[in-house]
Amino acid sequence: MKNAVILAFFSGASFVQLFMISIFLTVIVGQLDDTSYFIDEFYSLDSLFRLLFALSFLTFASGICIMVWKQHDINYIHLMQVEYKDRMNHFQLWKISTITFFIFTSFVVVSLEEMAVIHNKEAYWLNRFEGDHELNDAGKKAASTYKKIVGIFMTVLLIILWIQPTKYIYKRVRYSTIRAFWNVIIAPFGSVKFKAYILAEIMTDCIIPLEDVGKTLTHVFYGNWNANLVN
Amino acid sequence: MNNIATSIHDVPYGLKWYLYIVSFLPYIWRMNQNMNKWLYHDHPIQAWNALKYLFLALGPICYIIYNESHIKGFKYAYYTFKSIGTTYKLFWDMYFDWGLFRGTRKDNRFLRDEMKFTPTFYYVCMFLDLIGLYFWAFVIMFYSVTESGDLAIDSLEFYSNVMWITWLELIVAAIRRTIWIMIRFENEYFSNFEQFRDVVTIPPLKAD
Repeated sequence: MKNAVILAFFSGASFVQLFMISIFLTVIVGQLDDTSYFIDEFYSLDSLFRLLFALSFLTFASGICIMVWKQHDINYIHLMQVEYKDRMNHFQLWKISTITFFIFTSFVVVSLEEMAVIHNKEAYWLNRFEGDHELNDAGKKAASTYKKIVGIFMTVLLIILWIQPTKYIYKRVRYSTIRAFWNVIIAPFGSVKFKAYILAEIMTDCIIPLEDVGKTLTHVFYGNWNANLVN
Repeated sequence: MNNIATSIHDVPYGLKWYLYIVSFLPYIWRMNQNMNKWLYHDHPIQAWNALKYLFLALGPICYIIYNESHIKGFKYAYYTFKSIGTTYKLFWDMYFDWGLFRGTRKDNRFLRDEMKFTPTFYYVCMFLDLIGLYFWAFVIMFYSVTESGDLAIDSLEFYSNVMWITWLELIVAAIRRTIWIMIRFENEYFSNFEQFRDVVTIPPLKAD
């Protein structure tokens, strides 16, 4: 019951935010004189958005798999060789997924608003009347600072979600996954369990999220990851 | 939108090499697991599985060499390894990982004797697996019809930031993997082909 309430709350809140994003993109961005730099700056954050989305999607998909296996009486707990007390059911996974998705949509809303504020300040534009729209130094600095803050926020969030040592957010499951990941890395020497095999197979499809981790860290240090952008 | 499309050489040096390495590292990890099973656990068929991941890893490696040296031969080598690796993977997914094409009756020749799902489900999943695995070919096609197509063909295939294509790639890969895992577990329930456990029979979930 508790899981159902959390699920309902966060999925509802996420849908409201998705509605706000669509309104923002269609109405407010349309009011800007020149949207190209705004859109470019906003898109440069997409590696951060995508990382959160990938986490949310993979957790949701895991929940669907568990639901299907349960319905067909497939003993996934035995196959994964996990302790019975360490198992997670599909509601628990969906709860994490909806919370992550809520963070993702909140993050998009805040970034849209922040980028619009930076780009809408008339003082930030050069050569406005000659059609050559470009952020001036103050605008570039503001955009870069925002990206750094967001990069730090994402790094901290990933640490909280995966490696923080408190018992919250299913510590045993998190640490068991980290151990499996370690076994994947040391595969030539360690034993290959079914759990590590499945994780390694998933990793072969996670090249885009792995790239996004690198881009996120680059945001922290450089304020951007793409030299072709305005800042 | 055009401003954001850039080549791999425009990103900071450290990030460039990070992006290069992660484009093939997961395949190497998986290949190591197969080598482990082959050499330490005497499972010779895993050598063929390792070969599959070698092809899949060689594709990006050739592309990296092409990006750095601009020798056209490596670009063609990339397409060759990518095509061979994907076809190999499709066969391995269906025959070994899912245990299909092993049915003994006339009505299940393309499936197997023991199944938990309906036959239609397997056929739909086989089709989706095919689409998911060859999605990289669609991606190249998408790039060629976008505004940055000319740039994309020569330098952007892996690393372009053309946003919607990357998002689409991620979603397709995630859906394909979800389907793959669903049937992989179901097949593992019936067979112990890769010998991941000592006990062959698995108790039903309700009895466990």
